[in-house]
Amino acid sequence: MDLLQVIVELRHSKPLKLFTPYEDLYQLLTGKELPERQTPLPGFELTISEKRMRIVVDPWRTAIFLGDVPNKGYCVDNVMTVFKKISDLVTLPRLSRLGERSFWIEESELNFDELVASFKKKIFHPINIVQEAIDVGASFVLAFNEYKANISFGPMESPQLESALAFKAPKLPKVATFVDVDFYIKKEQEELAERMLRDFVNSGLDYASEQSNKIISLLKEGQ
Amino acid sequence: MISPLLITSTEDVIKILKDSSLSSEYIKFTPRTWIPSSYCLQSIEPSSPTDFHEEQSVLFEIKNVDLPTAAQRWKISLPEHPEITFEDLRAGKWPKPTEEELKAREEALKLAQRVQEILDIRPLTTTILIRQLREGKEGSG
Repeated sequence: MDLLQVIVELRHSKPLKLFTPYEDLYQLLTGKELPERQTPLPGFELTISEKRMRIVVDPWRTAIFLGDVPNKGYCVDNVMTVFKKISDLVTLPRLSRLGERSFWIEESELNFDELVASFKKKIFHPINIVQEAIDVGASFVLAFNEYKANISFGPMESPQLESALAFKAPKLPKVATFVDVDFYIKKEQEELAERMLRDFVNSGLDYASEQSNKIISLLKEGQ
Repeated sequence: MISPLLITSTEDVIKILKDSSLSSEYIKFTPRTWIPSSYCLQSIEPSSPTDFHEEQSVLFEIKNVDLPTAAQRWKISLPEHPEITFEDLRAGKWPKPTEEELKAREEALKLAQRVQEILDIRPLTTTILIRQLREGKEGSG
């Protein structure tokens, strides 16, 4: 399967200090909390076009988006480097959630209608609504140790694939099976550690790759 | 592909992918749940999915940036395969051996086989080891 893009997101339990300077100043000078909560400053979003990368730092979350992922190591390297740079500037608040979302595709030799028919046969019971459907998709929530994963998949044609991607991919198949894996863990105000993030990114991609391959094997059975 | 938008708890319950590793015990949906539209990237899980969209962001765009990744720290130099990069090796794309490399491997195997014959090296099985210990000697057994 081809890995098209990856998003790694840290969700924080309170806003980053970068975005709450007035609250901090008020508290520093008066020793009290602001009577009314201020709206944090707007977030920051940096797009690096040649790398097909986007970095988002906003009050409640820090995310890195990779539109070009030649391999797992490249993804881990870039994620670690970017988060290290950000955490050198500002202490990242405790985490409330860690998520890694990846998009995978497998080119199909079938045309779109044939692929939809194959999905209906393999995934659904032949009830009326399924038989009449001209397009299908499926979503599952899976648990893996302390992690969870939202997995959605279905047939796609290239225009739909293009619209799902933030950066234009150099080459997309006409018809493909699309798999979206959102691997995440909710945290109880946990401090971010480099090792934890590295392990999470690695585990997330391994898990997503394994599940995507299982889906494709299942769909290809008897084809 | 159509996208799941809403999950209701009171509607039909259909078990799908039974006994498969993909099995999610039940998925509940109504005709309203599935809409034939472009893929909306929305999740059926109550918490919002991993994403990057933020309406109130200040946007910046640059062409490139130098990030000190491993690919820049490590250079691979294989004289027989100059086209192979560090990223290739990390992605598991190993080069195919050349004719010379195949011949060299064959020679090495033959040499190893001759050395084994001359030195009379035999695999040290548990039986041989026990016999040697019992007899208190080293040897071919």
